[in-house]
Amino acid sequence: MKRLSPLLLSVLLGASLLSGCVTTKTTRLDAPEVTVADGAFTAWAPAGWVATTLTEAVSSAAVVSRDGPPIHYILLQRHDHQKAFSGLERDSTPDMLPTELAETLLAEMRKDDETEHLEVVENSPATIAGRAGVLLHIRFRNDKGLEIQRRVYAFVDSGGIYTLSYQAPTLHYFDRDFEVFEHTVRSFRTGA
Amino acid sequence: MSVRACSLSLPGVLLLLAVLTGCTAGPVRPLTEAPQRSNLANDETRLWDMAEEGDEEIAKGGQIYRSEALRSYLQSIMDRLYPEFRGRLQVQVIDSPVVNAFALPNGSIYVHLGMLSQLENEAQLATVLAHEGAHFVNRHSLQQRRSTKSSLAAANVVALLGVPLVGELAAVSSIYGYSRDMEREADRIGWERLTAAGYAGREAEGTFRHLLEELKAMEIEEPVFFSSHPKLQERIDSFHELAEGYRGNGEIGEARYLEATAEARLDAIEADLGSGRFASVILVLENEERLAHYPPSALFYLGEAYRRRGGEGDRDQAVKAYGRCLEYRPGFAPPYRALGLMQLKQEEYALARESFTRYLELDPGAADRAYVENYLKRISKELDEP
Repeated sequence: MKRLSPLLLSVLLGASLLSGCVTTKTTRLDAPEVTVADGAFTAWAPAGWVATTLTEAVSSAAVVSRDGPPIHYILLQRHDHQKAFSGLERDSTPDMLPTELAETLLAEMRKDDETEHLEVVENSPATIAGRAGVLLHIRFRNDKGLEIQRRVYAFVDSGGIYTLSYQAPTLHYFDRDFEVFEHTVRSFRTGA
Repeated sequence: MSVRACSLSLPGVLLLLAVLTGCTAGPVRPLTEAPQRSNLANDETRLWDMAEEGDEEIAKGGQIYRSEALRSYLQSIMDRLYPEFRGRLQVQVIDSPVVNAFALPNGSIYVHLGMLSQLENEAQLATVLAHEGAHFVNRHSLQQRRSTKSSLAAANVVALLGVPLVGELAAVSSIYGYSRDMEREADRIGWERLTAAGYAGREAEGTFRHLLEELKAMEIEEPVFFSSHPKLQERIDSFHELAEGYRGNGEIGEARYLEATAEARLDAIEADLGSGRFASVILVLENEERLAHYPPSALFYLGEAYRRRGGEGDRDQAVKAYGRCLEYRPGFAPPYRALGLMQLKQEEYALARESFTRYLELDPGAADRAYVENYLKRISKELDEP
């Protein structure tokens, strides 16, 4: 499993392309917490939302949504450094500076047809789970002309690259669950 | 002509069904003048409808590069190549670093920004436009639509992309290229138009050579839709032969091209960097002759391509490029920030502090000031300063 783009995310959630080496589980959260099977990370998430977790050898991810990922989602991911950015001419490394991480994440987004013409709303240093990282906030229009916003916190450590993303249409959804996402980010803990 | 497809997405499976079932038999003759829409056969009208929806999608998706001066320049070349199709062959520039150009069935021609950074003069750009214009004039989309092979090709595209009308429009336009014979025909007609308009025919070969260099630099296999087309090397050879038999000198238009595209080419380089296409930046800017066509700040972009790629030997190349940039523009802030980042990673804390401090002196309002201030705090800590 490569790091998930929104497009791949929807494909994966369609479950049609899942190979046998990926463990996936979808549940409605009884308790306000989401944890991936390999214990790579855990975070607060609202009870009652639906979480899909995916785990394989080099990565793990959790997608949490109230109304369904095509509308809005919170996506938490860990990926080994090697091949974390497929399609780019560089990989992430444990000693990557936040500036380099931001450059690489933005390059990955600009390489994606959906977000090729993104506008950066915010690009600033951030601390996530006690690690120095970045906050990227972008907006773009989808192929129907609808404005979408995505907020991404990210950091690297020896365990890989971690990204915490929230994506929703500006209209109605983005502001509605903004605080939910920020709460999830503040509660995020790695398993190491 | 395409290295990568642009993304189009058009609604309406019904339209797809209409197009797939609405074939009209009969020979397809080249156009001799801009046709009236009312004179088109039903299937060609539907192709134009699809293309117009494609035009709208591209515009609505914010994909058009906003420079009327540049658009007018490209349009003037197209009108010189195809004067009798003035008003029908409409050129637009797509804001994308990908090296690409394509024609839609209604005569809309799109040239990606990335193509402009790879070309060196107006004759080479005219080669691209003449080739794409030939697809329209020879109604290749209609021919493709009416052939059994094209239905299969469309189905393949649909299956591969999983987005129906992307495939259908793509299959009948030059987004993915046409059949081998049609591409050859477009090359030949394009060449005739190029030379008839007074351009230097020998420059056509260079256009395709740049396309080949880009494919090699980006390690792109010739895409699946090129598999039935003449290989790029074959096209280069064929243009070489045409040029051998060509006695005219023709216009190259280097100065005019460089002036008209200066800002766009720099934007393309910046977009290449922004989307991680480092090899493409290095391909253009490591060539001293081509580097001379850019302002000194381009050396910063060359340094950035090496620094961000971070491969073996790239650090030294980056330092060299930043150094050259600062020789020309000592007050230019960005190279100092880049040097600071590399020095910090090398734990050369005193040097890193010097570079970052200089950066903030030169650009106090830098957008990434918060990052740099964090690095300066970290450096103080590493140097055990209070």
